[in-house]
Amino acid sequence: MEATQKAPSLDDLELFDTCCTLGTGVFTGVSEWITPENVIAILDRYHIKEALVHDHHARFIYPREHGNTRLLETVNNIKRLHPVWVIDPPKQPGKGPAENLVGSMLNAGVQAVRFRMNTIPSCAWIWKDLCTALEKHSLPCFLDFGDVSTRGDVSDTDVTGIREICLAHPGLPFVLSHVMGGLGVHPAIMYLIRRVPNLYIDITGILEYWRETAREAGPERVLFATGMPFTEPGILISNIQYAAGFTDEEKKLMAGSNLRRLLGNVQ
Amino acid sequence: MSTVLENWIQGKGLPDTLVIDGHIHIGAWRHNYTFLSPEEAAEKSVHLCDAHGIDAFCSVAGGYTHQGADYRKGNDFLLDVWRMIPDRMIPFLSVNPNDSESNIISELDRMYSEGVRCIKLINRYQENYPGDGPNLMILYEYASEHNMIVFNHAWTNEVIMEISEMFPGVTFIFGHYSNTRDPVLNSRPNVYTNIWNYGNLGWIDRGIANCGPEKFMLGSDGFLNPLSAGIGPVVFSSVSDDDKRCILGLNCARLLDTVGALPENLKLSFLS
Repeated sequence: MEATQKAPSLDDLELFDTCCTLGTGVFTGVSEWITPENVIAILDRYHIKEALVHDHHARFIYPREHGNTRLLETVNNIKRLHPVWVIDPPKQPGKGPAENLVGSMLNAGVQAVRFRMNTIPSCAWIWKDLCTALEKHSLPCFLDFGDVSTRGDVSDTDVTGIREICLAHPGLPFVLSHVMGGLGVHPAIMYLIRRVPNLYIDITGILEYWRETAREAGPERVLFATGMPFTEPGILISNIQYAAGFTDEEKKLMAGSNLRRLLGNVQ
Repeated sequence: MSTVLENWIQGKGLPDTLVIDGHIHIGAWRHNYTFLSPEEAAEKSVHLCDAHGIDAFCSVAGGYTHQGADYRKGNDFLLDVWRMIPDRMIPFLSVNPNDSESNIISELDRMYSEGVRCIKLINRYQENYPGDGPNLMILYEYASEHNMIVFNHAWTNEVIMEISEMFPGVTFIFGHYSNTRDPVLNSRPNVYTNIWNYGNLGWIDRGIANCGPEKFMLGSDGFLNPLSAGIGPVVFSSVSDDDKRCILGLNCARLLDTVGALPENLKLSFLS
């Protein structure tokens, strides 16, 4: 039957996917991967206007530079794809190494980063030099708690660590990513978002909790993501398009405007 | 271009399409709730369905189905809602197989006499009671004798192969689809599946290609999940509009009709 209340059209929402994984691999159940050959067709099929993309192997195979370099080759000259590097804090202390890393990223056209929080612990002192260098440029930082896929989990220690890191770098936008493990999110997440103004959440793996976040903390704090290829994009696209209780303008913020605003602040 | 997809992405829902969500829980939950009262459940569930273009939904109770709770209270809630929206909701009764045989039969009799023709099991969350345990074998026998549908969160492939052969007149429906179910779906004519799963890119297309569109039914696992989570993968799939319409509602309508559970208003749509 026809819907009694018209939802906004997908094209009006101008979808900007914050989580698209490029590359091939072997993972139970996943038999379609996103490659240079099919990525644009997939974006078109799902009416996704733009996407932040990262390399699959850069998330869990060292050296991460191999994946990050491969990513740049893939997205070269494709304006709809925005490369995200997966990086760790330099082991050598001091400003120099961190600033060099950030400088090389910016020179390569990278405007967002992904931190693998289940690889390097969320101790503020470990992240201080890197975050200080990133803060000068306001690059969005995705705090990625996922395993190889986009399922993930957050511990009590993580929650405390995230709070310290984010509050120490108020000029840096942080985005919780892959914090859903199937049975729900950590109960402290909402407390954290309400108390840390530069903390956002992407909706990978989350069907319902993002709505609560948007209602409690405001739609400005929620970023649309598909999590493909680990998640069928139609699930979360339809989820945001037909979400009950939000205005078209609020849906548009979550669908893409919030991320565009954050990227627009990158210096 | 798919007309079903085009309408959906334009925000119009699913015009000219019979849509039945085959997998809904309604009422109190273990860690949350959806609606406080049957009245609120009736009003707001219809509102949510209307907003998505859903004609009707198959529902079991919420948290009262889980281990430790009195499942009859959930069934009572279900009946109360059904009486208010008989054209929009198809009730699926639930029991806890760890209860005594006499209590289970008594509840089946009570719900059958109320007009309920479908059963939803969730034995995995009821101390993982085996799908071929004695009280469930009795339940399948009851379903066979009374022409009822049996829907379950999950059976093992070994168990469903056994019971679907033992009760060929009973329609069995999986609550969730993954490709591990393909051998069962392909070899048992009386076994079907709801689609809901946090599936990966193209998972539903591959399932339809392997097993045929007639085996799949829309399901969102609402109302804790949003209803769109079930619809999205179907409308975006690469199958034909005819196949999408089968999955969105026609397959479910056909099965419900065989046990006399399809509301009359939908029967008209179905037959037309």
